[in-house]
Amino acid sequence: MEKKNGNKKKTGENQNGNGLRDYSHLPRAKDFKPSKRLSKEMQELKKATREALKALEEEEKKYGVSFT
Amino acid sequence: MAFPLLDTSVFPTYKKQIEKRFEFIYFSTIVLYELTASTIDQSTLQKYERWKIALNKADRLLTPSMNDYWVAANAVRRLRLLKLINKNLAATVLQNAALIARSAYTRDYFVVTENIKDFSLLQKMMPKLEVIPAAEFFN
Repeated sequence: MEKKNGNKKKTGENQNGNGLRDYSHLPRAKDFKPSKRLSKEMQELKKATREALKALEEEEKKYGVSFT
Repeated sequence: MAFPLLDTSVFPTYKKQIEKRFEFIYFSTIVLYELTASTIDQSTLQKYERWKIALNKADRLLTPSMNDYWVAANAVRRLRLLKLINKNLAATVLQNAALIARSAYTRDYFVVTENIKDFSLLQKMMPKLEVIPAAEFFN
């Protein structure tokens, strides 16, 4: 995937006129299109990711967030 | 080609989004450490272990090298010398963020985080480090 707006900018230049940092050159989640067919490894990763995130959510509900 | 490397701070808010884009998201072993170390239930630990194995098989885990530790420590040292962080803070302050930043910096990934403040500091020492707030990336 190519970065938006061409070449990577130097971080120090990533300011717009408002003094706010400009992230427009970086891709967004929506720019990464999910594959229609997943390899066996990616199917395993999909399942493991879902289970891990669900377990994390359940722990947060039970005990609150403690890692940040 | 640049890919997102997630910081731990993203997890509380963006689980659904992470799951949806799981194919393209990379994780640092530092993040896995933080998640694992704060786990309470044994069942969660077992799921993290399966996730670790799956991430590793799919080549989605980045582990800092010895040199990454060295460079990250030097970056934090320079922040202290420049008085950009308090010199009396513990040596481990910014350690994990610096290691995640270093992993991204050397591999052309960009960091997705809710903790822009710490990574902005590190950008002063790693000028080509790319960081984006999670809200910008996922929304």
